[in-house]
Amino acid sequence: MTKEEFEVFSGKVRRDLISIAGRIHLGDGQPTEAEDIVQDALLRLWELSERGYPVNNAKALAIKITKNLCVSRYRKSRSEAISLGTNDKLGELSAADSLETADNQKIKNILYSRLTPARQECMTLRNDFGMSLDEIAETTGRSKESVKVLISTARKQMLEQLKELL
Amino acid sequence: MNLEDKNIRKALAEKYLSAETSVEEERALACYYSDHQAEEDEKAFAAMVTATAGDYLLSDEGAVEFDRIATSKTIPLKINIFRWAFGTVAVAAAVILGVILFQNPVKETPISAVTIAETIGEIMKLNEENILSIEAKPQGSKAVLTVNLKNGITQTYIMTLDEETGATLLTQLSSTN
Repeated sequence: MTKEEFEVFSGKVRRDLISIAGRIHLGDGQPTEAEDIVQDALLRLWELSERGYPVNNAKALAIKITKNLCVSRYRKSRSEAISLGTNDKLGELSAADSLETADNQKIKNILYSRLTPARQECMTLRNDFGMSLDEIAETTGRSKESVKVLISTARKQMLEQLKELL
Repeated sequence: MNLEDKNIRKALAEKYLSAETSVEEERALACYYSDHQAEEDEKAFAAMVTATAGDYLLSDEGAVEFDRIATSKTIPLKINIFRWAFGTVAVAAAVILGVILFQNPVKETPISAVTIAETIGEIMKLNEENILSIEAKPQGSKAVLTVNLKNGITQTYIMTLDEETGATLLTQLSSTN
């Protein structure tokens, strides 16, 4: 899909996707910010396409990504709401606990930055996109066994680094 | 897959490190560790799993979960958990719930494994120092939760989804030594 084709496609499906995203409410009862989610979903779809993922039915894929982003935000908002609800327990958290929960994104960035580009790519396709080993192999042009080794090695490497930190 | 069982978690961790877990198993691990305090020997692993867990954008299960959430109006789980979870048994509440459930049944929505797991996680968070284990038996639109306390007491709760409000309700059915 070329960039021009993608822009035409985005214009056609955006309203439908916003309508879908608007169906879900976050843990605090507020509607999701549907337009933001859809924008993010379309960007991810473009990223997938750029990475070589076979986009056979772009609209179905866009809907699936939108739904998963909504669920992800819903879950995050729920856990945040529950944390606020158990406010009396917050004071009992140690500094280390707070660090662990608050800085997941930072930890991820640090851990990923220490991976080789190939390991990093496989980890991103696996964890952010939820691709199977076969899909990662197809997308990256590597063998399935090679992908498996890259992910396994990356995870073991990250675990060792965390063991040193914690 | 009962992740409350440490042996199962350990086996899954081995599979995870060998890249032999499915996407859904990895998602389940991330959900578990974000809801539970990791034991000392699991801390590094839990930190890795939760920190690297992404949005799993191509997950089929996530899309199904979306449909379930979207069909219910959401009321924060915490409100109902606090109201019902570990208070003294309110006989009147049980009677009211009984009326709602059995005399005036509403359209039934099956409770998903994810909702049950999340609810168990919240119960554990509220009283983790006293709870030994929690077992859940899904029964269509309801689930029976058996909470085993460290002091030997076993409490049984019925968990339901209120179709009208989207809330998760817990009502204690019994408490035995």
